[in-house]
Amino acid sequence: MLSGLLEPLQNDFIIRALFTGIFVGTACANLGVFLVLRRYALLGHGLTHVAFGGVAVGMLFSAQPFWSALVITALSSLGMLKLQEKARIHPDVAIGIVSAVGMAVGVVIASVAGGFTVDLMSYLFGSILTISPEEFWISLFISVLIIGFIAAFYHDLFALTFDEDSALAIGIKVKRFNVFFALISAVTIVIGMRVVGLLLISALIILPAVTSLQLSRSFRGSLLIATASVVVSVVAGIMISYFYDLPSGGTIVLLNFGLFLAASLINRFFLKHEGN
Amino acid sequence: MSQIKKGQVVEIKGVSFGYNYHPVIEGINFSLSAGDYLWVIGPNGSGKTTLMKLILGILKPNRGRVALFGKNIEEFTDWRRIAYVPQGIVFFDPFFPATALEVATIGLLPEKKVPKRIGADDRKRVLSAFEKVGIAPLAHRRIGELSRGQRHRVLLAKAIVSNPDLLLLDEPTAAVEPGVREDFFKIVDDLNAEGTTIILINHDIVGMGVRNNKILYINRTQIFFGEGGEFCLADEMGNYFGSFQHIICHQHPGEE
Repeated sequence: MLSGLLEPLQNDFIIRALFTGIFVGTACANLGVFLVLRRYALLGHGLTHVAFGGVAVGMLFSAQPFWSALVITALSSLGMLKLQEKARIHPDVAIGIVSAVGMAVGVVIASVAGGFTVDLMSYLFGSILTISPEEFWISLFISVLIIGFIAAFYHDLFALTFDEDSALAIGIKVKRFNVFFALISAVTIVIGMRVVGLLLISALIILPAVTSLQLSRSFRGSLLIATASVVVSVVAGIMISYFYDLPSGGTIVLLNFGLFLAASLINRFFLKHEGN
Repeated sequence: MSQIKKGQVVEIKGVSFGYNYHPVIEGINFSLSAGDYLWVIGPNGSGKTTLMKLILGILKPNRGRVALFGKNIEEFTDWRRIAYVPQGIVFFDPFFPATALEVATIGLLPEKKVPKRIGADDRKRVLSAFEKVGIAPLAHRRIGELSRGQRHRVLLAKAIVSNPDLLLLDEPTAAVEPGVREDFFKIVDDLNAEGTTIILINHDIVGMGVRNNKILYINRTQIFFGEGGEFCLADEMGNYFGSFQHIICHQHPGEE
């Protein structure tokens, strides 16, 4: 039975998929804790629409969609940050506008470039099982950079997530970190679109974080639980999708949701939290 | 505590601030020396919190100059000399995942250089700040589970853990249980006795009994700044405090 379970590991593409999923998932989950607590979860979702536009632009010019999506999403993310700071538009609305426009651009260009190809679909739904060695190494490298950044600046990031004003008062460069958050969100979405696809990547950012909020009492604990839950869901998701021929992106997200439900039940019945 | 150089700890010269031509405070002028204890009073909406944010560099004045420890606030970088207990995090998320210890540890960050590492010694310092403030048993509880008063004491511990030269408190006892109020002020008094300069915004007139030596009364503009003794004689104080004026003046150390 065990050897049957391990059988998929004999395939290179499964190994690549597992590692990509674990590393990218970890980056998503850790970033997600910060985004959810800072109330920027919607930003992540909005960026996925922009990334779609970026992918379509890349395909139109026969460039690597990965890089065109990266540049366009990063610029849009910074643009949304600027909009929030300067204009008198509510952040929700700013995100709504930019993401709708990004999606519309993608849809129009896609049809001009020859319709919705299988290739384009793979960016929408993810194709972790067909990740090329090149994409694998790039995703891994970028994930490690993101996780490393969060680890290196953990205390400052925690301080500004807890209370921005107090963080400013003790000399933390909040504006600079907000720019980094904007860029890292963009990058995380672009590397994540191969794992579960653009339609679902925001789930990988939000769900592990929300799961951890049901269970954790410390900040360190939240990051660990979020990471654990995304790793479990990615590994199980890939294996299940392999054995039962299911789409891996959707399976991973459903498992994430299952973990969230389990965590909520544990919280409700076993943990002493105020308000329960 | 670090060596305090001779000169003013805080200097506010002709400071005004407002949003879109709507002034919040105007024409504020005062300075504090090391060891001063300033009590800031004024009605709601008078700009007291705004003034505090200007001193902390969170806001920039439209006019005038703010100087800390002899340096213009724009050039000031030694933030570990200053600590701040805010009015109470207005939109506090009761489910925020952090222990009281984690929150108070933030107070140590200004003295750390990149890469910022918190070690066992640092944890001990935070725990002893907790003991000083009387909440040692709460260290590993989630911050959202604590009462408002307990949470506020965590923020006080966070402020004092780095041994600041200047401590700013904005309505620190608004949420604190009456019995604990005296303890709170005693802690601040002790710090002042050790040499920490204090700026305190507080509505809580009755039962204050603090050792403030200076008073600043603002209501958008500056109505009064001076020694505590003078204020008992000032008409404005009578207008603002009514019959409380006598209570305050009797409680004020140095009076009678």
